[in-house]
Amino acid sequence: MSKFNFWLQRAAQVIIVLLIVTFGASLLLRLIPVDLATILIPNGSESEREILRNEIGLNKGPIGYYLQWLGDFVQGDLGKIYFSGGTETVSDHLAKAMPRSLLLMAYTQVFALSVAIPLGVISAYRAGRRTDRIISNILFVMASIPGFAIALILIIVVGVKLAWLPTLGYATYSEGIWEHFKHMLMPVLSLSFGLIATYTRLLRADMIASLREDYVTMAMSKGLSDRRILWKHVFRPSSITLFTSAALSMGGLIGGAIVIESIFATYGVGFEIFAAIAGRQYISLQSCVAVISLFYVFFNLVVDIGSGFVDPRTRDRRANV
Amino acid sequence: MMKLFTGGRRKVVAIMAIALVASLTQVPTSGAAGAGTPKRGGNITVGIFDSFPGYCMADNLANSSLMAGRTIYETWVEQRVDGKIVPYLLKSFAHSADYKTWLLTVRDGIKFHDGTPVNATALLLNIQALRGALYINGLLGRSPASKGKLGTAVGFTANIQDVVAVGAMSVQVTLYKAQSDYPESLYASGRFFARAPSQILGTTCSTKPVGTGAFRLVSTELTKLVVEANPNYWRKDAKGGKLPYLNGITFTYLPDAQPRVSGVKSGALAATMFSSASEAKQILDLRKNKKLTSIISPIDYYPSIWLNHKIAPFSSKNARLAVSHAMDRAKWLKVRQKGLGMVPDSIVGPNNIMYNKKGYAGFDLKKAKAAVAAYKTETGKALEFSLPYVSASADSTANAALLKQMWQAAGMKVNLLSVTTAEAIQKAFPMQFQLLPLLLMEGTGTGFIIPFVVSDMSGGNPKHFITQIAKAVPALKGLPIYFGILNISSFKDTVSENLLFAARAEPNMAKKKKLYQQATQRLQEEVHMTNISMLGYSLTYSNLGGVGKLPLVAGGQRRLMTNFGIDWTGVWSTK
Amino acid sequence: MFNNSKFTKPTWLSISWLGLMLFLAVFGSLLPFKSWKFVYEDDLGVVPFSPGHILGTDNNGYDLLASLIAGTRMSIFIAVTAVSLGGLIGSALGITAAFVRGKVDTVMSTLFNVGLAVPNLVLALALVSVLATNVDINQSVPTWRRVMVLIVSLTIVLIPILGRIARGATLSWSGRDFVTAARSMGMRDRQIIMKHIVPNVLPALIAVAFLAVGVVIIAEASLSILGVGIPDGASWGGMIARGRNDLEYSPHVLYIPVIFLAITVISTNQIGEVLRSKLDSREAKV
Repeated sequence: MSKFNFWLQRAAQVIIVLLIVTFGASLLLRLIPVDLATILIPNGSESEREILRNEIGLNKGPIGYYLQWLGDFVQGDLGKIYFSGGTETVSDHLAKAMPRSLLLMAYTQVFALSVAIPLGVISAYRAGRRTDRIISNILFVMASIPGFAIALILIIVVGVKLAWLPTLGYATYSEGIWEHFKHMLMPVLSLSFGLIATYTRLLRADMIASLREDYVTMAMSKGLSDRRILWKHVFRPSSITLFTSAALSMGGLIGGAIVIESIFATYGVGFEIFAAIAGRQYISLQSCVAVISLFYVFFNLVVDIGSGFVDPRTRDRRANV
Repeated sequence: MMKLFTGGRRKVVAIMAIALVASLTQVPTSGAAGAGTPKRGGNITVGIFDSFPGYCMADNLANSSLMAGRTIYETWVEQRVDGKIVPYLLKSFAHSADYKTWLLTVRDGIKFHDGTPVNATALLLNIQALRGALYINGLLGRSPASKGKLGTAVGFTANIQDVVAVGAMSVQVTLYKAQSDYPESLYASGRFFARAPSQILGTTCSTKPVGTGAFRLVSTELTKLVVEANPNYWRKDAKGGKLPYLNGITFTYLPDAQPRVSGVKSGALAATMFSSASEAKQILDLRKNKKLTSIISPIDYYPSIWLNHKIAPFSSKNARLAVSHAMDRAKWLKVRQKGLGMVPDSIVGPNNIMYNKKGYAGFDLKKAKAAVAAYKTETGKALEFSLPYVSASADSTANAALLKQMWQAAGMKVNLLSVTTAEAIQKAFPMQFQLLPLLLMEGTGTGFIIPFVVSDMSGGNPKHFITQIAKAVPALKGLPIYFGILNISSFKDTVSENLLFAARAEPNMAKKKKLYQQATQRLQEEVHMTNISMLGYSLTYSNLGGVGKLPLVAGGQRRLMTNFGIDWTGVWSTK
Repeated sequence: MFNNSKFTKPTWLSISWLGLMLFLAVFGSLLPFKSWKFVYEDDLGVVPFSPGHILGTDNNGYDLLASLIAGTRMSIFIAVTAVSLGGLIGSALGITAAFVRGKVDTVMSTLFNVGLAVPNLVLALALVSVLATNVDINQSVPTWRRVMVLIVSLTIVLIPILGRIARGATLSWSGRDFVTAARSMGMRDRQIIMKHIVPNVLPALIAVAFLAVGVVIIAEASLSILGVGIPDGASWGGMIARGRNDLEYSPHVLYIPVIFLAITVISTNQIGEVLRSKLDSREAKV
């Protein structure tokens, strides 16, 4: 199979998956046993509800509704959020929320990797010795503690008792870089704990395998310094798996951060989803889920293609599973 | 179709709350009062617990967001600290001998933020808009979608028979039934704003507030309101200097108490409001903080539990008695309010003119159990009902759980019904729940209470324009546009209604009080509604001066702290 | 299956902890405690080791030890049920897909991918909020139905995850010689699956199931924190959600369920990991 064909097939798969996901989400809405227009505008009059039903296609069958939603979605109309004073568009909300979530993800990744890489290298270098065992045990515990628990403990200790950091909200760059990072620090810490553990263990395992390779033995026999061997000959090839895994976790972070975003009220995409559910704004919910799935699947695809370029073995392995 | 005056998450969340005995004080309780000379400039952020649903007649700002809205808007009359209603944007109000005709005269020289003058035309338009006139007949350029979207104000203005301009600055209001305390209805507990005609008639009525206040709109969204100083504000400070002192205020919606506490402690928030409904612990703690100043309102807020008389089980008096007798209000006070407050012994508090302990069905487990048994004998069914609550809020959930437990202890079966705030409000008018806890009664007077407890046995105001239109428009048939439009319990009671109307008409204060108390007794004996607590609101701030110092134009002071916070006009930042 | 190897100390600790949790879940209601919902109105938010309240009380006056025991029952019940159901359905689908191959496999794999295309928590959140909508406004959703909805939603989330693992494992086993041999001997598909595939795939699934229990406990707690769990019920997540507003004044109300939850998840992960590594070494020997 040629490379081009392979990608074409992957892309087709992705599109099919996305179509089914979004159709499923829209079908789910139609399963709600109550009139959706009544839920969306409980304070509206019957005529207003009729207008709403026509507007978003609730008077059509499930498939007609989905097609209309899909048409609007593709054109960037993600529906509206309804409250008694009027409406706000979901796209406006997401336009504000998305950069926040993306920044949060980016910071989390940078932080997690910059902690995990040294840890991973050290524990691989000292594999089986005390340092390695201590790191491994701590990481194991870290990986098991849910992010919200870390978030709540951070709030109690750092936010309330020590009053070092604000416990909620989001600050833009214009409100000051320092303010911005102060607001981001605790959410980033809460999200990265689990990732640090995952990344470190991954890197450690990969590096230990690499250390057994012949070319490392060769390099050692040449009398190269440990440091040089570790970083140049061992870390570099091992890092591919690490970055692949990091990229794969990107999409998951957007949605997985819901609890963290709602605890810290950072008003990101996760918070929008939480708000949509709390206010029963199901159209917003449907569109947010679609956007998140889009990102998630997109990241996976990019990683797939990217890692196929870097290391054909990965691609083949993926194709088989 | 209807919206509640008291929208906003907290009102429903905070449905039950408790008064603060210690809080009757009107003096700042701790910290430096920020005395000294006013300082100009500065922008501050204030944390609030209600969101901004909009600014048109039917969009009701609640409590803390009402405080924010009142930086943009002012009312025609104001309430003094002693409870008396005095002219504010009005220069004067006068009544005929029979209290059926009221002449309202507007103060000269005041302008809306858009530069248009405040005059008789503006006042007339505001009253008509509140009555729903602009919306129903659609004559004034409203879109068809707005038709029939009436605010609760319709109930508050139901007694108005006609309103006309008499001269450039005066408006004459003719009432259907005599009312000696009409200015209270015109105040509506601080909610009947003067909106600019351009806002009322335009298409952005909900989103672009235009008023006369010391601040004007910069931007607004559901969770935030940003205002800046109005350079042409009409009031002046004691030395004749310009008001307001602050350059701008940002009001931020923070539904959870914890971030408001840490915000005001860290200085990120200059001030923040709390409700003793569920935040007593925070209030108590902040009052002890030496670096912060905390002020608290009188206990003038009486959250009720409305019992739907139209459907089972509360069509039965036994069921209503059971519910009221089963509520251990002392326990509630201890558990939910950390002992801060007092046990209610009437459907209104002791500061209210209607206060009367007679006939109140207080906590009595034996009587509750007997009533449950009587209900069973009467209907052959066990007493069972659903209690709506907002599951997204930990406080509302805890409140509901405790109520459920108390009722279960008396042998009732209680189901918890998860709703959103919007749903709760929608289903309250007309009442579709079996029972609904909702804070609707407040203050020392009756202007804000009567619309919710008159039962409309008299057939309402036959000359009300909606009554006339309703005959012609099929869609409006059956719309209860009478006095009883806001009667959430949907009860019918000629006795209490006659007493209430007689009390309203009576000019002699002693006689008036007596009539009101008789009405209260009747309402309590029939258990048309009950309550579990009374509550107050608090504001905590730091680095602010001038809070509660600016006098009213007609002399005297406004109340320092109310459910809608403080007056921000004379406040300065000491930072 | 794994009995020939010695467990390390952490593993024994994990097993004992989980045993204790199981005991509390099953027999907790027989212990001499008042209902967790009993309101101690004179002991609000008291700290741990107060007289009468070993773990203290929360600000509603609920005894935390009683809440914790009741919460253990709910959290463990939800987790074990959802993982069992998800594992059963998922592995049935996965094994079938991998064994039958062809169109069935394509459809199954696509469906698994669809499930995996939505982040777990988002999927669970959407399912719970939609499934728990009440038809009649005066008809509240009873607690048992909320529990059912939670279990069903979490099961749906787990099916594609466990299904994909079952499919992968089946694929690697069904290509082995003894399967080919069995087939050539005229064994029917069902017999092959039951006799050769299931016993080999099962250990891997059990290892993953332990990890999944941890994931589900966390997911249930997350849903409670977001306000779509069981509102007035006892679960660890419910306790955390109730305590959140008071973290400034009574942090122990949060610490206690968080610690319980964390230790439980650490234990399930430990056992899952151990089982997996045993499997891997067995694989290596094969």
